[in-house]
Amino acid sequence: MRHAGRALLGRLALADRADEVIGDLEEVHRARVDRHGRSLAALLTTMEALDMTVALLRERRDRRSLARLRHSTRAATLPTVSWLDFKLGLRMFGRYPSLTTVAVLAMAFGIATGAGTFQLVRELVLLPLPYADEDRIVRIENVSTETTHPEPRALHDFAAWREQLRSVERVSALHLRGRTLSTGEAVATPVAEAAVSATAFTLVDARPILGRTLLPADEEPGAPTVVVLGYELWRNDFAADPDVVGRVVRLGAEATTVVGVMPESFAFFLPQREGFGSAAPQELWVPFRLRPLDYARGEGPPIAVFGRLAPDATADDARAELARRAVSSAAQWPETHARLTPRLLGFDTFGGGDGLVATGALALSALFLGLLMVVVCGNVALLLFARAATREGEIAVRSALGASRGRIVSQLFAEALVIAGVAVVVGLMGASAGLRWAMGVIASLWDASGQAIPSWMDDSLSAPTIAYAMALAILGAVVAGVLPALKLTGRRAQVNLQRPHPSAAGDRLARIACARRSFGSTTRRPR
Amino acid sequence: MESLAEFELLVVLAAIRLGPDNAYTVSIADDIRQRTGRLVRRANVYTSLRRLEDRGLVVTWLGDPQPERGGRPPRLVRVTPAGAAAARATTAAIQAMVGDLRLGRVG
Repeated sequence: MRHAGRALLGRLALADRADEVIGDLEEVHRARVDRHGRSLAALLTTMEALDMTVALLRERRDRRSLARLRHSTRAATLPTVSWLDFKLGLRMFGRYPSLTTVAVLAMAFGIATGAGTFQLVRELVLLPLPYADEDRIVRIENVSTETTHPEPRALHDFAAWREQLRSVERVSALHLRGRTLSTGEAVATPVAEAAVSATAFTLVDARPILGRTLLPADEEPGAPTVVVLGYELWRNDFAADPDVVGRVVRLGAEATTVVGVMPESFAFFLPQREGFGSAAPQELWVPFRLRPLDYARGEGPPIAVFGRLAPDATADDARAELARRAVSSAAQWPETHARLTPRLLGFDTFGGGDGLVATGALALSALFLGLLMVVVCGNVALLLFARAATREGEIAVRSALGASRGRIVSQLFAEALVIAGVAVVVGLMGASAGLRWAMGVIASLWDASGQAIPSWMDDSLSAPTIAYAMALAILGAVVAGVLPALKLTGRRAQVNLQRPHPSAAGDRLARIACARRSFGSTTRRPR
Repeated sequence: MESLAEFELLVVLAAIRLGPDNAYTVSIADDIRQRTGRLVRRANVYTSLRRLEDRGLVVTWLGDPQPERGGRPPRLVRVTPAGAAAARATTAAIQAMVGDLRLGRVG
């Protein structure tokens, strides 16, 4: 019986109380056994278990009642939107076709402008890179404290950063230059060559489609010269030859062995010019063999340096470490380093500052476009107000029949949401078309300046842009739906109810209102 | 200011006396029984503690498992400042009403 009582209490007690209730029963029962013997203890404990069962049942009942009360209070205070409201919103298309179409087009224009611009700004300012853990990849560059311009001749610093930095690992360098490539059959063609550290491939987790990428051993003096081909070069100049690995080509005057082919659109992302970014043309990659000893400090070819934050390091840790190093460099080589300061930048943003600047720019543009949407929807609100004004009678009847102001407002909001829903589809189609056109223009501008548009920048709408368009649509529905509804359900609706109507419908309305007022006055509690 | 029903007052006073390390349903019921001589139903103590907890007059937490409880932990009770204030206010009201009355001579 005691076991049955224990099981029953365990089931009845609220989840967090079962141990407590059964433990109490167990403790008291053991004390009773010592005092009264097993039989009497069992009887007393069974009675106590029954008593406790009643208490737990009451507790459950009280909590259920409380939950129901809370739910009903919330349901009474929050106006709800039902599917019938949306159905009514669809019917409005048939009942007021011209006015509703104009409202949809106006809202769609706002959404298309907002979403298209948002996407474009996002692509250009907050350029997402196609690398895993892109937020851990950082650029390091020297900046002149006099001109604030980057100083890319940093071969000596690159060697020191690679050896000494603890907060940034796999520090890599990349140097771009033009070469000529001769495959032996045709005349030599000019190609864009990137001399790059072997670690850079592991940094961005790049894998070849044929052969291998570069290895640290390839950088050693005297190692055989090797090259990794870009996909486009392999397809165009090597006819997508699947046996290209192992073939010897001439890069400039050097006989070079092809060791791999990278996938389509692969490139290391580089800042091409101050304050703007693009994937510089990179048609093939060779080992980075530039030696600091061959150049004086502060001289040599321009290079880009990048690496990955160590697993336990933050960007601030890396900046602090760079600053400490800069102090000792300035003391050691004052003639070249006294006016240089190292800067660490997120590799994912190229606004000339850190990621915060780019994110801020995007947030500001989103805010500005949202305000534009408010202005557009203010005009749509006027249209919907005109539409709703012709339904004053209907609204007055709803009010007379007991619909709260919140209920009527939520109905008109649902109707505006239907318009916004159609507008978001039309607007996104418009944004997509506009974006294709804009990207075409940008690509031709970049082509004209000798740069390639990053291959991962495309003209399709991204998920954040679609989400932003939906947010704009909801904002539009609030402005265009709720404001006219508040205006129509204010005092004016009450005045309409009280005004004598010449028509029979008006008489009915007045009678309903009078009946409601009379009913209200008899049922309302005296104050 | 919260006020306490009579049995709630007894529960709160017992919990204050036992202290947060020793006050739980069984010990509170035993304390009230020993001091008042009343037959105390533990179910009532449990229900009172739940209500006091809901009102923020006590806080509870699970203690260490104990072998005499079949390895289950007791739910220990601490009276909050609001609970202590409610107990003070209720006892003060009772004392004020008793005043200099000599209840033995009534009736």
